[in-house]
Amino acid sequence: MAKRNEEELIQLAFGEVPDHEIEAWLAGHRGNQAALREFEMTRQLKSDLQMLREVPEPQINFEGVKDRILSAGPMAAPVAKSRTRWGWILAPLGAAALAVVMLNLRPKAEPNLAFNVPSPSPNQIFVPTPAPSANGGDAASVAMRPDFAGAASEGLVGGASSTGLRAFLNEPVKPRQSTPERTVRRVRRPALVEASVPKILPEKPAPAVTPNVDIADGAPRPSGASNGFGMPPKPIASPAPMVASKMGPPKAEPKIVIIDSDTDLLTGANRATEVTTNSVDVVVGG
Amino acid sequence: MALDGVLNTSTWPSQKAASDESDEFLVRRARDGDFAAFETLYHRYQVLAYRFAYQMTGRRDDAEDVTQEAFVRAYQHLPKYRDEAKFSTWLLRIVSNLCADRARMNQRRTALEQQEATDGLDWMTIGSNEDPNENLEQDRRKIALRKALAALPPHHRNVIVLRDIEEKEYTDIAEILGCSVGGAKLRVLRARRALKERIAPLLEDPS
Repeated sequence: MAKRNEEELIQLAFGEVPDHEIEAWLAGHRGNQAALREFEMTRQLKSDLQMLREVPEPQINFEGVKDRILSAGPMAAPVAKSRTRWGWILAPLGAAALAVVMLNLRPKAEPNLAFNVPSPSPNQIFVPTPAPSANGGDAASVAMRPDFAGAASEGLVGGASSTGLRAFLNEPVKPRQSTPERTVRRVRRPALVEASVPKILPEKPAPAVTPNVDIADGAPRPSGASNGFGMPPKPIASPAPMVASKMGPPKAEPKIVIIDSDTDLLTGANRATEVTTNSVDVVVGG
Repeated sequence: MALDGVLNTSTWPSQKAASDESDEFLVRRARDGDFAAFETLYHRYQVLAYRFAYQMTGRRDDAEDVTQEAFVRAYQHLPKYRDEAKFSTWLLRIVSNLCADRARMNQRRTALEQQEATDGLDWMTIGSNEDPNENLEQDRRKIALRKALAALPPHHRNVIVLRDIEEKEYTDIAEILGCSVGGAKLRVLRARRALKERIAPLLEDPS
């Protein structure tokens, strides 16, 4: 039997169509014994299904339900219909608005970003990086010249201010020089300084204090009697011992030079102080 | 809390008075903490829920468990019940979902257990005719129908039970199944075809 005919037969036998349609169908298939038998069989199936309504008596009572309700916990919270309905509308709108705001707040390209860096104050102290230069000198930006030592010591009280110095101080700070990582590396690798400094200055025993550089944040901080603040030098807590245990004991402490913002009257250069030896025989410049 | 009323039964209104009320009224009272109203609903629809569960699971203990669980869930979710649907429809939907969950869990049940469950029905087939032969034939048909029904997939069995055993309206079936009325009709038609295909060989084989 075709699927369509079978479905029609099922609809008829299960009484899903009006009676007159059933009678018309039966009249139309009066000579078709197979179809009539199929119809009767399907009708029997419908009546047999009614027999299945008989089920064994349940052995449950309300006490069992009550116990389970007590153990299951309290009623669920009522649903706020309007809130739920509005939520479906407002959630996509909120997401779209957030996306628009995020797009508007996206940082735009700024061509003169370097000029936005705030200028350093005139009292800022620079500790130059002792990096080896190509001509075999010590640091590219610092040279310690003993021939200027006397003049430099005489100019400690002088006031500061040449145009060149101001220009130098107002120059924007380069980010690489101020990164803590670079400063820490300078402190923890004394061999690099040791290899170059003795060529110019006679070697002096290093004091037993930690260099006056706070390696925690990388910012150079002068301290002690030599820098004019009247404070004794204090060791600053640093992770250096942990590193030193792996690297072995350092051979010598690094030489730290503090460049003052004041200008030496004789040399015209910035005054500088070598921290560990309290020496002012240091001149900035190549 | 509503369960306080369970323990203090002296404060319950008489069950007889509550049973005269409509489902909506009883639901509202149960929602407000009147546990006696919920008990009335339980007694009113316990047989319906159990019978439907029995048709779906084919086992009395399973049906009892599902029925109890359905009433527990109904009570817990009374605040979420919306009055647009009949309480009986809502309850049957819970039973239907529980039966579907149970069917999924029992998929690994062995054929032997299924056979035992089916055979367990034999003692319940009480003849309704004077003629013993006719009674035997009726029992045979009933057993075959039970087997065919149990062999149907749950979604087919569900609609057969709702429409042809419980004689629910298509609108109710649609609400229980969560579909349109047309969809419910189509499902019923497909399920009947599937049942017809399965019952035919069982009825032809007298063994």
